[in-house]
Amino acid sequence: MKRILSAAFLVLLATGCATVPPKPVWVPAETTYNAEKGNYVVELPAGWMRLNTEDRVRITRDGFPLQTIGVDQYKIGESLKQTKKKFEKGMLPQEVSAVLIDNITLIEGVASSDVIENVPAQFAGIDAFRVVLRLHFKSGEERQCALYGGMSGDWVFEIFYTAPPRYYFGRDLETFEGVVRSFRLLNPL
Amino acid sequence: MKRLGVWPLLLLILVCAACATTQLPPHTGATLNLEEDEKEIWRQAEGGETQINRSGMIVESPEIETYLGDVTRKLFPDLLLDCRVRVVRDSSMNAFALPNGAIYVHMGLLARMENEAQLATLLGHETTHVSNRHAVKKRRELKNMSAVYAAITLGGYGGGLFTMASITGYGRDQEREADFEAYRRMVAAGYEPSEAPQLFVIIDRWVVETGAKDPYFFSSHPNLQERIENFQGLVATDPNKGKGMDHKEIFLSMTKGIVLENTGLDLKAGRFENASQGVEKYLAIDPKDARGYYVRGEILRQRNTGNDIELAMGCYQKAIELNASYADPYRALGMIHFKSGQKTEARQHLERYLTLNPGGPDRAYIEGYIRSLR
Repeated sequence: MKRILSAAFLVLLATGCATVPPKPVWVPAETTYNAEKGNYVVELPAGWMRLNTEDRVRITRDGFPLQTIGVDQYKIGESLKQTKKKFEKGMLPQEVSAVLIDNITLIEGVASSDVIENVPAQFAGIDAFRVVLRLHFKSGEERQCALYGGMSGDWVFEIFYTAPPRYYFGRDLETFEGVVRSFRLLNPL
Repeated sequence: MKRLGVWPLLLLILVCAACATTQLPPHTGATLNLEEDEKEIWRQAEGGETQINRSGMIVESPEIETYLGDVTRKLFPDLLLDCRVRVVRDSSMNAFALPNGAIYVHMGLLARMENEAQLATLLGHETTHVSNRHAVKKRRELKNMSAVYAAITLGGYGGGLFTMASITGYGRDQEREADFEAYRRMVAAGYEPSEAPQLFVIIDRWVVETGAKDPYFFSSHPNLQERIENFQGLVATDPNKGKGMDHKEIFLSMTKGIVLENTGLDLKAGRFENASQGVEKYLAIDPKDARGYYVRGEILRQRNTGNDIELAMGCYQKAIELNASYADPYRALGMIHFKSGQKTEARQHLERYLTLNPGGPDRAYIEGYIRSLR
């Protein structure tokens, strides 16, 4: 038993010595971000940093509290994180937007919200929507969000921008719109 | 076994310390006297109250607040401070009291209660925490526990006991006291005793249905089944049983708006079963309100299983029958017809919607549907 433990310790130690340095948490945002698994490609703004994760896009220039642009995907028929509602095939963009708004406004800490705008839009060549909403948190903090979303095949794509409403939201809104314009599906369905 | 010999000594220290500092008369009687440490607790409570009231979670309804305040005063005519009871826009089953008399009831709990006697049980419980000064007593108990904890740790018994005490809110004894006092007060105010356990039966049912974790309201309380049995024991020997009032009609008429709003929260969260229960309760209170039928239709349309869409259409039609100038059911019908390719019906309903609600926030969508139908 003692020998097995010693061997295990040795293996552990050797593995420890041989490990590569940890993956950086942040990397400079690529000019072109190619998400093959996610079936999309998007141009990211220069000078921004990307959270180094493969499952979704999250970028910021000055830190998440000050501005965040992100891309999320939802598989049709699967429950969302906050609401138990699911996306269904054949939903109109207006119906998709309603489910996404419910999901966002149920985020922990959100006390209330105002939908400032909810209109049809084109996004990645699909019939989609553009929503602007303001979130009021229990803490007193406020955030404004702009998001585009639409359904393609078995997926709902969402690209969003969030920042404090005063000063920051307006400052990077055009950058966000540029990211939206660059968003393309690799295999449109 | 040897270590057990320490316990009687520790218990004695604990009891003596508690006796010396936690015997405080209730805030009922002649004058309101706050102790120094209690003043500090009140200051903190006032800060908390301001924060909650500004959080955007409070239902702004002077009418319901007056009603809740009146029930509280009926229970506690001798209370030396004025309790403010407000409703929190949250669909969970929760209620809490701050030591300075600010009491909050979650919308989910208020919406699921059945009558004023059950409400009186809840408000009696929360107000007892205020009147019997449970916050300052608990704080002093915890201070005493700190001293005892040192002794326990030195005795080799570890910190589990202290950790447990420090993370609970009001302790089991205070919760039992609040339950008992609530019962005594609601019966004295003329309410039906057998409705007291029903409050906890309703909470228990909700916990089972939703699989919810212990809500704060009873997280540190005796467990629900135990409480129900305690109340049932009191009711069994109460000579007032069957003679009290429940004021069901006035309660339902005062809270029906809360029931409908809470149904909306359940629907938003995709809890279709809870939303259905809510809207059926609402329609039982007010069967002639078009909004109830529209919401029932929305639940069915969004759930969309089996023949839900067909049933939803019937609900929207009923809503229109009851109120022909109510815009939302026209939009819902228009969208259903639009998706199923029934162009004429779709256009008629969508155009009617825009006529009734020209400034609707979804005008751009509706105009788009109508354009594509031409």
